Amino acid sequence: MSTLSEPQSDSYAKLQRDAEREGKSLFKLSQRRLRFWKMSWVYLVLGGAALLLALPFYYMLVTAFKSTEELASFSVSLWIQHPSLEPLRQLLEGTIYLRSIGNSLLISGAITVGNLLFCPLAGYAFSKHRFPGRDKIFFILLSTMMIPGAVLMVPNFLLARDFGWINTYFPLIIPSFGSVFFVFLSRQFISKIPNDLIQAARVDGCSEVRLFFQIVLPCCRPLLASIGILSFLGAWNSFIGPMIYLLDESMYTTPLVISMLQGRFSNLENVQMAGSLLSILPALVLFFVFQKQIVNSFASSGLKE
Amino acid sequence: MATLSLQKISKYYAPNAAAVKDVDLEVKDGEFVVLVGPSGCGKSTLLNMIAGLEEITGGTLEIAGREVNDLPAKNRDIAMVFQNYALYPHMSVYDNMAFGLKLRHVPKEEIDQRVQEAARVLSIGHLLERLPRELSGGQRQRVAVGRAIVRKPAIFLFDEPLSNLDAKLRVQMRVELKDLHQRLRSTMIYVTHDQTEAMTMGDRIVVMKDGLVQQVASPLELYDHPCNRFVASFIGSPPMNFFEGTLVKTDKGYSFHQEQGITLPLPKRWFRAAEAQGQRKVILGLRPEGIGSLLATLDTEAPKIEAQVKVVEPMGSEFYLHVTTGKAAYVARVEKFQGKPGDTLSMPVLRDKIYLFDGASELALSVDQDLP
Amino acid sequence: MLPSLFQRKLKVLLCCLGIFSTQLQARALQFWAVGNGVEDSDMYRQLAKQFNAQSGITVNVTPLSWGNFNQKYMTSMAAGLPPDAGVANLGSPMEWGSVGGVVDFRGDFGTDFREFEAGFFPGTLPQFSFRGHLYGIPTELVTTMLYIRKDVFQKLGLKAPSTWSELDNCIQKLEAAGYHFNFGWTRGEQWGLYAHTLPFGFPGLHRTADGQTRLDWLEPAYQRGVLHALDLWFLHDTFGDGSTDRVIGRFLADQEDESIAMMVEGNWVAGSIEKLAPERSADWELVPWPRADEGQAVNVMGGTSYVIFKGSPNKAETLAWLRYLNSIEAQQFMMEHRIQRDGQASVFNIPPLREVWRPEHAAFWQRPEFRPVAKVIQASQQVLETFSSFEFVKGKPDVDHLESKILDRMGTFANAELTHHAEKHGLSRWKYIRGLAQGDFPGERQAILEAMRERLALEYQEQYPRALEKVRYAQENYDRDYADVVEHLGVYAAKASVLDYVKWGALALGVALILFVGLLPSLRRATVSYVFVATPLLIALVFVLVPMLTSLYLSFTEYHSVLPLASAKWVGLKHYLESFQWNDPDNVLFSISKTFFYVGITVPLGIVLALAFAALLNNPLSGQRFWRFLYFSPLITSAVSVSLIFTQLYRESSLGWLNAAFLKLGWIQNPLLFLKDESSFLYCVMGLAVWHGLAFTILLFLAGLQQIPNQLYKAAEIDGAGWWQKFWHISLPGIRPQLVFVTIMGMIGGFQVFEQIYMLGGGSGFAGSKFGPNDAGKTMVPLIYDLGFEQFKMGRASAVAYVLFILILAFTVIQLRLLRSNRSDGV
Repeated sequence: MSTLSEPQSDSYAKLQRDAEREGKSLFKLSQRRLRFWKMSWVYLVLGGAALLLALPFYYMLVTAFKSTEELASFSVSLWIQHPSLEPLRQLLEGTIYLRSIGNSLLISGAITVGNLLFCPLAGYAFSKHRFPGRDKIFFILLSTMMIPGAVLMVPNFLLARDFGWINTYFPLIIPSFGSVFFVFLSRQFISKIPNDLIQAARVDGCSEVRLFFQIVLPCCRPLLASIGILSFLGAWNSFIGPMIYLLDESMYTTPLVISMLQGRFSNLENVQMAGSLLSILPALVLFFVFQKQIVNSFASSGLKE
Repeated sequence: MATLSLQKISKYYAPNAAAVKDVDLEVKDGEFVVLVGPSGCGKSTLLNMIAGLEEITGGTLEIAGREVNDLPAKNRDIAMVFQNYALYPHMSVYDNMAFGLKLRHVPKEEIDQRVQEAARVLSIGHLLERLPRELSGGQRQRVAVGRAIVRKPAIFLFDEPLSNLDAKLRVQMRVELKDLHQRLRSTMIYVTHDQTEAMTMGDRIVVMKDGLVQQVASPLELYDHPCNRFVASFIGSPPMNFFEGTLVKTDKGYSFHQEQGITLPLPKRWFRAAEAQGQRKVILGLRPEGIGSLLATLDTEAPKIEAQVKVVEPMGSEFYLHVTTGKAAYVARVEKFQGKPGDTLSMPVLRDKIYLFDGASELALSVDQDLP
Repeated sequence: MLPSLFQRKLKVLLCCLGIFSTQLQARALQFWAVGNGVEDSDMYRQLAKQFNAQSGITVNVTPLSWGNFNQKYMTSMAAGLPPDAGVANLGSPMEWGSVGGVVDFRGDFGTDFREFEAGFFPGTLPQFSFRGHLYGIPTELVTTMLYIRKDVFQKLGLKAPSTWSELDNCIQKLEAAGYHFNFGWTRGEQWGLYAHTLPFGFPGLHRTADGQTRLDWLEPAYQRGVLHALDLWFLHDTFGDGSTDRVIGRFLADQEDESIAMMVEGNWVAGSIEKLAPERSADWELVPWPRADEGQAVNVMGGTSYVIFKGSPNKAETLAWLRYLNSIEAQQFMMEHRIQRDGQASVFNIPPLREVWRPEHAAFWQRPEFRPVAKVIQASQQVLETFSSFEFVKGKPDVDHLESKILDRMGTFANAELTHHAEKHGLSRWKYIRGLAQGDFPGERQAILEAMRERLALEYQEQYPRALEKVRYAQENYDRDYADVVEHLGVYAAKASVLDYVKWGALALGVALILFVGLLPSLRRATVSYVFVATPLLIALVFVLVPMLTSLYLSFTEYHSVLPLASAKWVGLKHYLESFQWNDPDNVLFSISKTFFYVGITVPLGIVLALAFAALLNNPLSGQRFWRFLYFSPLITSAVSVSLIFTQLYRESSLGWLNAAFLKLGWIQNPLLFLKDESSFLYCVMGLAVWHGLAFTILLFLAGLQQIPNQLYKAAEIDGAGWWQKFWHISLPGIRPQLVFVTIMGMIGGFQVFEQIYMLGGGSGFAGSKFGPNDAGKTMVPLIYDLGFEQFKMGRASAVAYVLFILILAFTVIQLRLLRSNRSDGV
C-alpha cells in the first residue's frame, strides 16, 4: 500500500533512479521502439507524398515571379534567380482580372445568400412539418439531383435565350437558388433538432415563419456554415456556366479569365502562373485560417449519420 | 497457474502527470479481483496496462510467473470484455467469437467446438448467425463475453462491462457473471465504478483513488475495516456519515465533539487512539445503519445522539431518515419509524459502526477490537 | 424659286430626315474587336473617334479574346444579340453566313460594294465566299516567310532558296554543318497544308468550275505536297514548344550546336528580331516562302477578317465604318499603331488592299518607325499577288478536322519511326535526328520518308470515303434542313416553338398546383409548408423539368441554334441510332468508350490512394493542422487554375519540370510527349484529376475513420490482429458509407469531366476547342459541348446528352444494387 504523502514528481524521479540503478532505461525497448519506427515511417511517407502533392503549387509559386528573360533561358531552374513582379503587372494590365474578382464575388455572393435563405427553409418544412405529399415532393426533388448537369447544359441555354438572359448574370444565379443538395443537407441536420423545442414554441403561440427564423435557424449554425462555404466555393469555381452565358469580357468571372490566359499569354508561362497564383492564394489563406469549419463543411456533405 | 503479479506498477504521461503510481498486487489463480474507484482514479489505465494496451512506465508485471512488460497484448494470454462490447459490426456473432482464434491459426474444427461450447454456456447458440446490430444490449454483452471465453485465456479482463445496461439487466448479468466465474474458475480482473458490483462480485477488491491503491481486501473487510476515509465513504450505501471535530477528554473517558454539531461519547475501544490523537482534529464516521437501529437499542450502554428529523424516505423494508443535529446533517437507517418530519429523536449508536479518522491524513485510527 | 408648298414639304422632309439621322446617331454601332490584349481595341477606339468626327456615327468598341471568339459570336447570334460588325478569323465567316448569321456583302449591298471589292487582291477573297455570296472581307494578313542567317549562308556558300528543291538543299547543307533548321508557325496545322498543296492546284476540298464538289486527297501530287510538309515539320530537330523569345535567341546565336540558321516563321517575328538586336540587322534576311518546283508560287494566309451581322439594324452605317477602316488614312494609322506597340505586340501584318501598296504611298514605308520591319515589307511586296484561296464548301470543317487528325497521327508515326531507328543505334531520339541531319546514317532518311509516304497514302485511302461521306452528309443536311430556313427566317422567327409549348405547359401546371392548394381545404391548411418548399420546387420545375422536356424533344430534331427554335426539323430516332454506329460522324461510341476508360481508372485509383493516405493521417500526428492544410488545400482550388498549372508541368520539351525530372532520374531517354501524344493525353488528364480529387476523398475517409470507436481496434489488438487485419476487418467496413458515396459520386463526376480536358487540350487558347491530339480527350461532356456550342448542332447535342444521362442512371442503379446485396439483410 503506497503512501499519499510523496509528491508526484518525486516518485517519478525515484523511478528513474531505480531504473538507472538496475541498468535499464525508462524508455522500454521493444514496444516503444516498434511504435517509434512505425511512426517515423508514417511521417516519412506522409512527408514525401506531401512534397509530391505540393509540387504543382510550388511550381506555380516559383514561375509566377520569374521575369520573362529568365523564362527564355534554356535551363530548368527550381528557384528564381531574379524575382520580379513583371508577370503580375502584365497580368493585371492585360486582363480585367481585378474586375473579374468583383464579378465572381457578386455572383457567388448572390448564390450563397439565395441558398442560405431558401434551402434551410425547405429542409425545415420537409423535416418538421407534415403536409400532404411531403415525401413524394421530396423524392421528386431528390431525383432531380440525379440529373447530370451536362444534360441541362444545352436546353438551359435555349431557355435563358428565351428569357433574354444571355450575357447577364441571371442564368448563373437563379438556377442555383435552392439547390436540392443543400435542401437535403438541411433536412438531415434539422431533423436532429429535438421536436420538443418546436412544440414548445408552438404552444407559446409562435407563427411558423417566426418559429423558423428565431428558433430553428439559430440552432443551425454549423449547417449554415456548411451551406455558406460549399455554396460559395462551388459558385466561385464554376466554369462552364459563365463560359456559355457571358459574352462581354468585362463581365467575366475569374475562372474564365484564367482560362483565357493560355491563349492571351501563350508563351509567357510566368504571367499564366501569376494568374493561377492570384486565384489560389487568397483561398489558401482563408483555408488556413478557417480550416476547421471548411473541413467540417466538406465532411458533413458526405457523412451519413 | 494463472497468477498475476504487479510490482510497483506506475504509469506516467509526463513527469508531472501520473495516472497510476506504485501499485503492488498479487492475484491468485482463479481469483476474482475487482478494481474500483471514482472516474479518473486510474483503474482503467491499470487494466489496460495489464492487457498490454498501454505502456508500463515503471514496475514489473508478471503473468503466470513470466514478466510480460514488453510483451504485446496478443501474446499475453489474456482476453478482454469492453464496456461498449467492441463487437466487430460487420461480422456475425460466430465470426466475432472466432476471429481471435482464426488469427492464431487454430484448426477449424477446434474453433467450431469452442464457439459452440461458449455459446452453450452463455445461451446464445441461436444467435450465432446474427449481426451485432440485430442484438439487444444483453445479448451483445454475452457475445463479448463469449469472445473472451473461446480464447481460453489465463486471465479475463473486464472493463466496466455492465455500465451500458439498464438497471434490471445489470442485476441479472451480475449474477450470471459471478456464476460464470464459479464455473470456469478462471482468474478475472474486473473494473467498475459501481461499489455495489464490486461488493457483490469480488473475492477481493482493490480500491483506487488518483492513481494510488487505497486498500486491497475482501468486501467484508473493506466494509468493516476501511483503512481511510475515502474507502469508508466509497463502500456502503447509503454512504457513511462524516463529522469533523475534535476529541475531548471527559470524566467517563473520551468524547467526540463537533462545533455546533453532534457530541458523541466514545466506546472504550477508542480510548487509546483518542489519547494518542490528543488535540489534533479528527473525523468521526458513522454508518447510517448504526444510528437508531433496533440492534443499537438493545445495547443499554450505547452512546446516544439527539437529532431532529427533516426528511423521511420510506424504502419499504427500512427507513432512511435525514436528520440534523445542530448544523450537522446526516442519514440514519432504521427498520421502523412511525414519527414524522420535525420530530426530535434520541438515537442510540452501534459501537462497531463508529469510526475515527485522523483529520489531516484521513487515515483510520486504530481501534482496540477486544474492548467494548 | 420653288413653289411654297413644295418648299414646305421639302422642309418637313428635311426635318424628318434630320430627326431620322439624329436617331441613327443616337444609336451607336457595336463593333467587337477580337485580339490578344487591349492594344487592338485601343486602336479601334481611336479610329472610331476619327470616324465619328468625319461621319457623326458613333462606334462602340468591345474587346474580345481569340480564346473563344467563335463560341461568343455564335452565342450572340443565337441569342439575337450580335454586334453590328466584328473582327473574325479567316475560317468562320462562311460558316456563319451559311446559316444566315452574317450579311452577304455582294448580295445585300449591291453596286456600293463592287468598287470596294475591287480594292482587294483577288486571291484573298474566295475563301470568304460560299455559293457565290461573300461573307467577309480581309483586314490584314500574315504569312510564313523564310528567315535566313546571311552570314552563315555565306560561310557555307549557299544562297537564299527560291524553290523547294533549293530549300531542301539548303537544309541538308546547313544541318550537315551542324546548324539547325526550325519550322515554327503553321507546323502541324491542317490549314498550313495549303502552302504545300495549292501550288499544284489542289486545295483539298473545293468546288470545281462546273459546281461539283471535289476532294483531292488521293491525288499523288497532293500527297507529295503533304509529305513534303511532314518532312519539314517532323523530321528535323525543331524546337516545338519554345517561346518566340527562345527561338529568336537561337536564331541569333552563334554556337553551331545551338543556333538556327534558317527558320520558317510568321512575318511578324521579324519586327521582334530587329528590335531585339538592331546591330545584327545585316546578318539576316527575309525571303518569301519558296515556290514549288513544278507549281505556282503560293502563300498560306493567316489573318483576320471583318463581318457584318445580319441582326444589325444599321447595315449601311456599318458598311461605312468598314469602308473607313479600309481607307488609306485608317490603314496607315493601323499599321503605325501596330508597329509602335511594346515587345511582341509590335507587329507588321500585311494589308490586303491594293491602294496601300501603290507606289505613290511608298514614302509611307520610309518612315523611321517602319525601319525595323523594312525587310518584311520588302518581302511582303513579293507575295501580294501570290495569295490564293478558294471558295468554301459545306462540310469543309468536318473534312478539315479529319485531316487534322490524320496529321496528328502522322506526327505520332514520324516520332515512332525516329524513335525506332534511334533505338536501333542506341541513341536518344534527338541525338538520332542530329545524326540524320549530319548524314551519319545514309539511306535511313529516305527509308523513313518512304515509310511515311506509304503510311500517308494508307491514311488518306482509309479516310477518303469517310470524308466524302461527311461532305455528302453535311451538304444534304444543309440543303434539307437549313437552306430554305435561311431564306425564310422571318416566318420561322414568328412561329411558336417547342420551348413555348413546354413553358406554357409548365405555367399551366404551376397555376393548377396553386389553385389546388388554394381550393382544397386539406391542402390549404398546409399553405405555409408549401410556401416554404416553393422556391426549390419552382427552380426545379423551371430549370430542370422544362429543359429536360425541351431537350427530349430536340433530341429528335435537327436544329442549329443560330436559327429560330421553331425551325427545328423532326428527324425521329436518327441521332440516337447514329450514335451507336462506328461510322457516326461524331463518333459517340468512341466518346463513350473513352469515358468508361477514364472512369474505370480514376475512380479506383483515387479511392485506393485516398484510403492509404487517410489511414496514415489517422495516426496521432504532431502538427495536425499543418498536415491537414497540406493535404486538404486542393479542396478550395478551382479545376481551371489547377489545370493551367498542369499544362505547364506537362510540357513536352525537356524544359517542362516533369520531363526534366524524369530525364535527370534517368527514367526516360527522350522527353515524353504528354499532352501532345494521343496515347498519353488521357493519362495526363487522369493524373490531374486524381491529384485534384484526392483532397476531398481523403477528407471523407478520414472523417469516417475517426468515427470508428477505438475499442474495436483494442479488441482486435488483443485478438492478435496485425495492422493489415485491423484495416481490412475494422477500418474498411467502418467506412462503408463513405466508400459507397465516393464511388458513386466519383463515377458521376468522372462521367462528366470537362474542365480539365478543356484546359489541358489547349482548347482555351486557340480558335476552336481541341480536346487533345486526335481528339484523345473527347469524352462525353466535351462532345456535348462541342456539338452544342461549337458546331451548334443542338439536336444532336441533346440526343448525346440523353445517352449520357441514361448511362449514368444505369450505372448508378447497378452500383447500388451491387453494394446493397453485399450487406446481408440491409439497413
